[in-house]
Amino acid sequence: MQPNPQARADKIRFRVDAIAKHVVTVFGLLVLALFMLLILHILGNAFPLLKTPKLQFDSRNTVSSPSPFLSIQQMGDEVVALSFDKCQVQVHSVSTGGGVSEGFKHPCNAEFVEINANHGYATHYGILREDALVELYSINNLSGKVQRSLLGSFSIAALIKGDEQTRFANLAWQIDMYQNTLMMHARLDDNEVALITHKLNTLSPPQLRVIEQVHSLTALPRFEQVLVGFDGSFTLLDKNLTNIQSLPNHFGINAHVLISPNQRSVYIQNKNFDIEVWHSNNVSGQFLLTHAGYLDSETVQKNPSSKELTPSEKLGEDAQQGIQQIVFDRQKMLAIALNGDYALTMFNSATQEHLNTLFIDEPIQQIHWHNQQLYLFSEHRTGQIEIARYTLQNAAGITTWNSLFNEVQYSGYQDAQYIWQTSQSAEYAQAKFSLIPLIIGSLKASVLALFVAIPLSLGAAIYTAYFATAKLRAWVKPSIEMIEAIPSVIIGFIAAIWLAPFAERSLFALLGMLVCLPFIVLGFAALQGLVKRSENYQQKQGLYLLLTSFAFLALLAGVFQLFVLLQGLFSTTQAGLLSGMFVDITLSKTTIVVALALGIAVAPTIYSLVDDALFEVPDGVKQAAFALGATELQTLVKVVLVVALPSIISAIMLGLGRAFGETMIVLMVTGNTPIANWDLLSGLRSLTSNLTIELQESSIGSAHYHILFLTAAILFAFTFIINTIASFLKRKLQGDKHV
Amino acid sequence: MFDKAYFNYRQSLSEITTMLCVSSLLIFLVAMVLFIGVKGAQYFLPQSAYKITVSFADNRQEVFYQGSNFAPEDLISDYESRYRGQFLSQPENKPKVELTIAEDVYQLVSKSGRVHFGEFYALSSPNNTALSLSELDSLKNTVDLLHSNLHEVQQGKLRDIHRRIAALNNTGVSSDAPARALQMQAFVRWQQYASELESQIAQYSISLKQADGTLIEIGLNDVDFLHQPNQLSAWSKLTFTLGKVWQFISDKPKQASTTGGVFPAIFGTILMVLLMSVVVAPFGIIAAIYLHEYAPDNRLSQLIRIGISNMAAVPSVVYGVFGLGFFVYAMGGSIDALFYSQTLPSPTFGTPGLLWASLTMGLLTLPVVIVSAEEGLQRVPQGLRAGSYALGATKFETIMRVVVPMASPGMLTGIILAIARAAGEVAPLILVGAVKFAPNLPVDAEFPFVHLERQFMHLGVFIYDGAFHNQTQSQSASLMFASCMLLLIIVFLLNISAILIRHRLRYKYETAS
Repeated sequence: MQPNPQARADKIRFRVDAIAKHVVTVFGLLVLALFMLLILHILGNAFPLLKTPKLQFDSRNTVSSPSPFLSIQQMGDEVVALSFDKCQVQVHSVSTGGGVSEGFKHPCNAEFVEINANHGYATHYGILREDALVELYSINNLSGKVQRSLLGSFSIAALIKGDEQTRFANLAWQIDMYQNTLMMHARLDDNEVALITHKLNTLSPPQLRVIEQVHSLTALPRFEQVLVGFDGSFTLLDKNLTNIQSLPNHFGINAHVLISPNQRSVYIQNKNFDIEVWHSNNVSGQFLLTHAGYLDSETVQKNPSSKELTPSEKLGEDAQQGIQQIVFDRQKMLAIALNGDYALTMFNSATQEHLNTLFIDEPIQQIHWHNQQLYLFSEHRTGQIEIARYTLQNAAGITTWNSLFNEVQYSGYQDAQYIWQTSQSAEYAQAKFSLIPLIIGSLKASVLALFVAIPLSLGAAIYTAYFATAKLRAWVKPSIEMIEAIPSVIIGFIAAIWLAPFAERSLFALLGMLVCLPFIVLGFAALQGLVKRSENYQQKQGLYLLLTSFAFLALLAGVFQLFVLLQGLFSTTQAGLLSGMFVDITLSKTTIVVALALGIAVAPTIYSLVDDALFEVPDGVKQAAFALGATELQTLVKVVLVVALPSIISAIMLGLGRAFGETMIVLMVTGNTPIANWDLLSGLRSLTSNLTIELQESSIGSAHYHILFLTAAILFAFTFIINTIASFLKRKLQGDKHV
Repeated sequence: MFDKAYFNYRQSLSEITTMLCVSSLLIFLVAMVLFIGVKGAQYFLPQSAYKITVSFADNRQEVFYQGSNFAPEDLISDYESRYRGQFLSQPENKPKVELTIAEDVYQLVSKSGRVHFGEFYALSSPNNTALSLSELDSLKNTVDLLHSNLHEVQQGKLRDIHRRIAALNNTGVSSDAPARALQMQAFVRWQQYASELESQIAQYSISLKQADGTLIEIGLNDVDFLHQPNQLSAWSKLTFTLGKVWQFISDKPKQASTTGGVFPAIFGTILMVLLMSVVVAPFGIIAAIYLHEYAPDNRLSQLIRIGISNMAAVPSVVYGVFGLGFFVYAMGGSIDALFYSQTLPSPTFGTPGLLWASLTMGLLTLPVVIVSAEEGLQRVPQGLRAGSYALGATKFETIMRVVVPMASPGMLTGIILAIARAAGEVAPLILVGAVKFAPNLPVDAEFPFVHLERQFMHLGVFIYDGAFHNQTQSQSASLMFASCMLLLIIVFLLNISAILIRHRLRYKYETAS
């Protein structure tokens, strides 16, 4: 039987229909998936901030060195260890295998002096020769091969008098250096420390001081100060050994003092085994230490595998149980502490928050941190040094919630503050990420804009939807909506290039105009009463609007000119007084400009929605009010506005969302200074403009990058939530109306 | 009665207050358009040249300056403010600034966009040093001829010889080989000819006497045009203006974006918008058809609808962030790793560029198109669909033959609004590929002709950059104002056409039903 051609065609048609349905569905879902992808991508890039940073074991190798590693330092991108053996200093390259890379000969009876300079590119060490000459060397590999150069030398022979020579023999000298200021110190006996201060390569001779009644000494050459400890109390001395500051007397007798590489933070273990963090702050020219927080002993210390000890037992039994060493990252707010029970504690060096602890089950002598990697040094057998390497993971997690949203006591600052400063100015100056200044900036700009936008748009909407005739509304509404179409970059351009200088020049006149505005309005109202009585008011409403606009403009211009003249008059007679009065006000130039520019940009959004809402209020409701004898105004206030209230609120919320998300105007008009200050007259930087300024400069995967995505997520969430609430409000209103 | 009068007054007060709000917004709109129009027009209109005399106690300075026709007195206050700080302590010595119209001064615009003023002093050719100005045109023709000769020698002959010598170098031919000597001889001969031409061209020049009496000599080869701005006839004013308009839309910015044109920005904007439309139109329309015709009518669809309309209100910079993170770094990075691994680490697609900007703007405007297209679909009466089904049409046929044609104005409106949004949007574009100056257009004669990975210029970004990085003096900012005017015209035209189409659509249905 021949198939019916019609049926075949139909079959094809139905198949096409089925295929089309699938294709359209796939496309529709693809679009939805695309929007989901957008949300997920932004959240996903903010997510690494929540992860806990970890140290992941990387590799382990053993280096044979007949003599112990005396100093582990940085040489360019390499980690090197120095040992002193057979009359020569040997440089072991640790990060690239561990062999001896170079040896530098010295007189055999010289002593090795460790130098602590925290120099990024060169390794330093010193030699104390038999003839009491101290030689300082620096080793670098900048030219591709390891080179040594003499930094300088000085003799301490003149400082040590004849009968004291035996006392000064065989001391463990150590040098702390900052630029050319050096402090060389050693313990003479249990209660005495010798300190030699010197400025390298200057004519002034080195000075020796013996400090008595001291158990420990920590040198702070950057500030030319020393922190000395005796019987659990610590004192900050300046270079002449005068007492600057005494810390409270509550530290352990043998408390360790550790300093950060920028010498601005001091870590001391107290009696409770907590680590107290003290920052040096420049108060009246002197650097004093202020208490900045605790590292809790509970989180820092306790190793679950070691047996439980009470803090007092620990303290009495073995002071070595305390923190041995802390290493710091140059850019991140990461510090890692090595404890006596071989626990590695990672903490945020700004907020002192505990991040993670890694327990090592074998003794560790020393640790070194470089380029996201931690090197652990341990000597199991003589001559065999084992180096284990751990790599940092989830680095973005170092930025804790606390450091993003709470005040943080940064070193070098007087008190805890909210600071957004993403480019570090110096080595060991960590970037500061506090989102509060940006959030405040965004809210401030939005609030300023709404100050202008709400009255303007509500007033305009009431006029077109309630007072104006339908004919007039058909013209005015699209015109005002046209303002919404103006690209914000143009409004920003005009505001930046014309309005800002204008406001600066004639602030006085502008303020005067503002003061006079209510009187002008009252005057117009008196006239309006007369005009309204004329018969053809309804027909000629458009003309009246036009005339009023012109009259309004002319009056404003007149008042403005008047105040300009007045200002001119004042400035010749009482220039000093007046300028004193207006210094504060000129600062608010930005405020006025932002409020006007952003307000005008947001007003049409609110206007359009409020106008629709007011217009949709059923005529029956109004007429019922009129029938009850209410005047036009009473009907407006008591009936129309009340009925439309949810819509008005939803419109204002949408306006807030628009202002919060607006980028170009805020970017071009404000000074973009991230200040955490609710003062409407000070500068601001919004979340949006910050993204445009910084996102391209941040490197992918860095904490900065993830934090910027977090700000994008905040922006997204804020506007999305506000819009959803607004649309539900509006839906509720429509639902009510149907009932 | 007092009460009644009081009520009446309150009534009038509320009405006038709201009316003044409308007035303020309308005044703003009109003032904005007028301000940009007037400031922008200044760029195209011929401006008078003035002579500014600054008399100090013991000497005086004179300078020719081109001022705005609308407010020449601004020039005086501008000059006075320059000396305000210097003479703050001795106001009696403050210099006097005078402004006179320099009647017969010449304005010379060089090809690089620099402007010189001065009285005509001399016109010289190799044979004669004191020609009259009427010979300018014929001399300029001669120079143009010489210059095209030079260009031919440099581009045609010398470049070929360079290539051949480079090829010899690559193949390791020794330095005294006869082939090389031959090339070298040719090279020297052409090089001599070229320098001869150059020195000939250099002998044609024009000298102007500046206001302070010094002479300035400009090679004729460098002269773009010369005229007397204060003695222009109506016809030459018109041709000047038209020429300036043509330069504005066909030339590239010159002199740090103070003069020249904005052709690369117009080109970049149009190309980006076109690419974006190609992406956004099918996706937006099909998604709208899905939502309105195919998606089940349940709570989930309602939520999706709210979600999509909310996506339209998400700050544009968030789309820029997504564009940079996903399109540029993730997608571009993988494309580079797969196809351009030989040029890594310098990125090809893994860097902001035209393609990613278009895709980002497509995503940004997608909600606009979807919402608008769905609105169009909603307006198609249900009866028409039922009629189509009754005639035996399948759903797809109904949609294609009945629904979409009727809803097409709504869809068109959506696309037009999307284009208007994309033309005026700046924040996301800064992140994903628009730059302040891109020397190479994304389309050129080099294979593959369309370079989607290149960065491009955009009118909005150009204006944004102009507000920050150029002089804020209104004089030099007039190119920026002209760009503002252009952008405003484009955006307004697009929006008005969208409104008109929507209006007509509404009207059509109202009359149909």
